[in-house]
Amino acid sequence: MASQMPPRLTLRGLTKAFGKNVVLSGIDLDVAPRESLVIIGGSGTGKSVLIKTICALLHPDGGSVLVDDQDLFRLSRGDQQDILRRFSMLFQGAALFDSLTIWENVAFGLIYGQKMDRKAARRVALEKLQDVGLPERLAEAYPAELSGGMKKRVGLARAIAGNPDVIFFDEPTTGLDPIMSNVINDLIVSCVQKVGATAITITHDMTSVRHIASRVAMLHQGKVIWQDDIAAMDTTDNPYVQQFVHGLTTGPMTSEKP
Amino acid sequence: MLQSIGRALLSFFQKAGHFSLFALTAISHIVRPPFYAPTVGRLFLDIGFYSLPVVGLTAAFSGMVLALQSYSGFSSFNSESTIAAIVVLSITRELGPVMAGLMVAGRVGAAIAAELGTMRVTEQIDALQMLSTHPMKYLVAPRLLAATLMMPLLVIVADIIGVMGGFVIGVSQLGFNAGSYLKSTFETLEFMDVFSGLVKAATFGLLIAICGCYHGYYSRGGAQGVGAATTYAVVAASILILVANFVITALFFGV
Ligand SMILES: Nc1ncnc2c1ncn2[C@@H]1O[C@H](COP(=O)(O)OP(=O)(O)O)[C@@H](O)[C@H]1O
Ligand SMILES: [Mg+2]
Repeated sequence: MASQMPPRLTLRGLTKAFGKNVVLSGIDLDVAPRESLVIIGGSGTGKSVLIKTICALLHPDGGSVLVDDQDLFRLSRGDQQDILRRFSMLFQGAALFDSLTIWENVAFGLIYGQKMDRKAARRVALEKLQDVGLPERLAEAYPAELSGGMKKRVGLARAIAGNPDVIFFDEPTTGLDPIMSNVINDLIVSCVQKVGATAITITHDMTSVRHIASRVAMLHQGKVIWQDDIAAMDTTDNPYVQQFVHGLTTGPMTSEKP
Repeated sequence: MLQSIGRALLSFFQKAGHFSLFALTAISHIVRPPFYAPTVGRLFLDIGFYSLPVVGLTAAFSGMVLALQSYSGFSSFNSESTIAAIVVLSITRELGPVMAGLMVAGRVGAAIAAELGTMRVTEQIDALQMLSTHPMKYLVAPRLLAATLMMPLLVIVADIIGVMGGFVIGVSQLGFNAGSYLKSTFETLEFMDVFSGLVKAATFGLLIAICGCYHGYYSRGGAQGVGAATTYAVVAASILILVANFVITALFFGV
């Protein structure tokens, strides 16, 4: 299904190292418009580094990131900014600005990034808070007053506020109870559909994978070692995927863990 | 041996270059729009107003101790005019700006490093960037501006309180005449004394904010990293203040 449409994102030979620690060693990956790709892989395999590199929060050492066939790291600063404006991210710990109220957090990109007038931005923010199931009275609260699950919802509202084309989710359900996890999974699916975005999600929560993914890619030792439609995940004979999906303690990955 | 000295030297210059580049980039963002007025207002209050108690207190005791020491230490000069001159010159030229600088480095430099460091390790700085807001512009530039503008105001207050401290000791403990003490104070004081102190103050303010922002901005590794960043910020700012103090003194009063 991905092969019919020209890809929204194309990664070719992407590499990134921190000193001697090689994290990405040649990532090749295509993401079609409006598909929902989930990236799985063990802790510390560089999943976060990968999506931060795609968003230009980190600069790659080599390789390219094409967004609609434009090479992100060979564009002028202004053109790069124009592309990045269409990206958004829900960070692992929600990364809400703790000196601002909830509605100001949600409206932040609208006010400062898009220069929307404060009143209009507040209206949009309240609408988005409703979309993620938060009561309006929380609009004036501060992030410190919220539970982990609520923070994630605010982070989600902030991520969809600017109607982005591509949304990244970094471990959206980590640290939440199973019920709240499913609420977030449902919200991700419905919000992504509502804004018509392409979604790239990092997770090691298999319930989440089955809920969100249309396609799955597995990251291991700096490379994408397997990728296919979600339906193929349970039937593949790839031993790495099998071990990860079933959480086995024995398998190819056991002996390689540092 | 030589090799390790070479490596250390190289790494020092690398860090110094990185630091200078950060400082220049940040300063360039102060003068380029867009400006974030509401954040700057809050910072003026935080950095300026709330530093008044510590700065005032240190200045008062500095002035008092100066009067006492110069009276007992220089018994052949213990006239009103000499003590008044020693106090007002030491305070305006050196002790006012330096004490205020070190106090503000501890208070404000640490706070800036801790705030930005926490924002870094909780990915708030990444989040800013994802929302098309330049962290240099939104976080760093306003802090540089606020510290640079607030320090001279703090030092004016410190100068006044410091001189008053000396005056109080002079009149109450050393038996000087209040009127002639004040007269000597104002006769000694020249514009350059205060002005050089204010140049120092602005420079120190800038250095404090840059050190705080730099170490916070590049902090890593959770709570421990933020703690380390805070320490580095205060130590680096304090050292740079003393170095800059020497350089500026040499420029104004050197041979
Ligand atoms: N800013 C950084 N500086 C140095 N090393 C980093 C940085 N960010 C991540 N790393 C390293 O990259 C590796 C992968 O990290 P990460 O992408 O966060 O893993 P995960 O797959 O769990 O998200 C880790 O070994 C981590 O120490
Ligand atoms: Mg991660």
